[in-house]
Amino acid sequence: MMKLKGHIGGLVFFLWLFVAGSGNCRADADFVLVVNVGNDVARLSPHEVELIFLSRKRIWPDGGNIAAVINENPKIYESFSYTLLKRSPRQYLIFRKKMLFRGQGMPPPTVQTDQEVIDFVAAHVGGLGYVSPEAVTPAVKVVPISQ
Amino acid sequence: MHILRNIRSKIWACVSVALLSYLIATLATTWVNNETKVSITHIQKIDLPLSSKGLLVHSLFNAQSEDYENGLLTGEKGDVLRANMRHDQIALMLEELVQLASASHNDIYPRILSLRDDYNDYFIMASHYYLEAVQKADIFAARKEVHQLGKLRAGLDADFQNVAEMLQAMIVTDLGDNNQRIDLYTRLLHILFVLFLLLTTIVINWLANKEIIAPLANVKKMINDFSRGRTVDKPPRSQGGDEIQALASSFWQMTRELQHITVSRDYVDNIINNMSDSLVILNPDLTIQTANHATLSLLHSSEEDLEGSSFRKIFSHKEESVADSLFQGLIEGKAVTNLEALYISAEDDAIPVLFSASALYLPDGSLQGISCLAHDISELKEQRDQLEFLANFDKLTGLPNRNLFFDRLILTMNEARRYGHLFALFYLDLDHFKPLNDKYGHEAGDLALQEVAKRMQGTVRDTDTVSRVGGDEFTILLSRVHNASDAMKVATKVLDAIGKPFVIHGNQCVLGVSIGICLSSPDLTSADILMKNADTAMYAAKAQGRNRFMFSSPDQM
Repeated sequence: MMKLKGHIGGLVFFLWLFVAGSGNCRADADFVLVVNVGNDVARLSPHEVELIFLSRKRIWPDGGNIAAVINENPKIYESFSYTLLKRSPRQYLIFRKKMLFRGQGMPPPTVQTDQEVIDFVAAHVGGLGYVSPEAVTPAVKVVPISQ
Repeated sequence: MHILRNIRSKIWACVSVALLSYLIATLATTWVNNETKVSITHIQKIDLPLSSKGLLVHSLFNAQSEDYENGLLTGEKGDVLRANMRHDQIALMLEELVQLASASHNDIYPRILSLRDDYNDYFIMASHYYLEAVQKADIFAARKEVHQLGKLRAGLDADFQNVAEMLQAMIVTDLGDNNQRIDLYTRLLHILFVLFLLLTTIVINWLANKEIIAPLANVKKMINDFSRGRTVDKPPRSQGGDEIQALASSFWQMTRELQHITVSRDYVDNIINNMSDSLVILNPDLTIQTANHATLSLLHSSEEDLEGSSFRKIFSHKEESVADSLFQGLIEGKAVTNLEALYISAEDDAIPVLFSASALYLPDGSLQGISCLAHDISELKEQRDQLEFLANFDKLTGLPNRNLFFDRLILTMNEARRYGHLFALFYLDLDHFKPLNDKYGHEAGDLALQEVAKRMQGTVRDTDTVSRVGGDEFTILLSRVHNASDAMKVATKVLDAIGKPFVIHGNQCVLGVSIGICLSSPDLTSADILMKNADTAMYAAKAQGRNRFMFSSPDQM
């Protein structure tokens, strides 16, 4: 009985963290998700974003391939990594290496600047990236992150 | 079956059949054991090394992968190099697996072959790209190749795992097969044993029956037939017959000989039973064992009466002591030949026999019995008595004749001389006998003579002798007298007796007699003289006028 109470307690705490986290994300987000302007997607959940960057989800609802790109811009990379991937950048790197090494999936390519991201997304129909909000141009479309 | 010449070979044949079955059973067991051994050896030499090497090569591959991964994750070149160095060991082990698998299991062989080739291909790329990635310190530089290698390795890992499991499963399968085979062989061996047991039993029974029991049963039948008096057939004679056949032949031979003996015994029995003389076989205790037909008819007795009874019952001798010593002698082995003895018939008649007897002995020397042969001499004796009678007696009157009379006269003379007593001799001649004879015939004369003889005998003692010495001449010998008057008394009685009339054929007749008497005296030593004296005296009496007596000399009166 005590054990069951412990589990329930843990679950409640985890849900609180999740809600607080997403709330935090929306309140003061230092990055935004951008897709190709031709993309119909209205919004993406944090979980979907996580799955896409962990190479677990590869296809858009309309059937097109997702071409995600990792923005290693130091201003937002860490935030993105912690917030959405729930990993440190280093953990995410090791994850990608392992995935690559074990042949479990092809990790997304990496770029160093927001501009490179905007160029990549504008160039790929299924492109998806994240950039600082101020870097957004009409060449891409911002997709809100919500449940 | 020429080999089965004797009982020993036959028994050995039975034993050989049993031993042969045993040998075959042993060979079958050995073969089964060998098959099992081959199978176990295969497991030991091929399956076990394959399985262990399969597991080992898989773990080596895993260690290599780990080293690569570590190297790539950490960027340590040393890890990648160590992983590369593991290749030699893995490649060697894969070669060994290939060789071992090629020796037998064809189904797993291609898998191992392709695994080896896949691994070698993989390693060529892996050793190159991973080293390069580490050297460049950027794994993502050759993303596609590394990703491809990753997929390849995952497949290889699955293959290694698969092969190792297959090899392990192979042991289990082979052990299972082996167990099944052992079960099958055990069942087959059981069936084989039962079949051989049956076969051996049948063959041995058949052999024993044909070669031993049936011939023995045949011999037994021969013996039974023989004991029941049936004719025994000659046993079939096969080439190289054994002891049983020899026994049968010997037995048959024996029956033949016994038949001969029986025939001869019957012959002898026939002779014995048909011989005219009596033959009696006695037991040593002098009881009658058997007697032939002649004995039975001689004694008017039956076999049942005689057998077992004492011989003394039918045997007798004039002198009892002779009989006693005779039997004692027979028991002691003395023989008796032609002894005159008497057999006593069932009606207690004495039958004179000539008796011969001898002892019969057994081969060990003990007395078996006594054979007694007796020849009936009653007829002979009768004839002899008749002859004796004719020689010494007068046939008409039954009185002693002249011959016997002289014999008795001499005897009496000798006795008188010895004992010194007197005797008297009468010489008698009938008076007027011839006219009677002429008148009434010889037959009447004979009757008269018989009457005279009877009357004379009536006048004398038993010890005196009346005899007829001529036609109508008689003598009387008074064996003992005291004096002349004794003789005179007798003479007077004789005269009276003869002088009485008697009737012959209805005619009364009277006869007289003239008697000459001679008394004995020491000086008269000759019978002839005595006769002559009496004769002379008789003639004197005749001359005196007949029917009187006269002494031979006056001084005898």
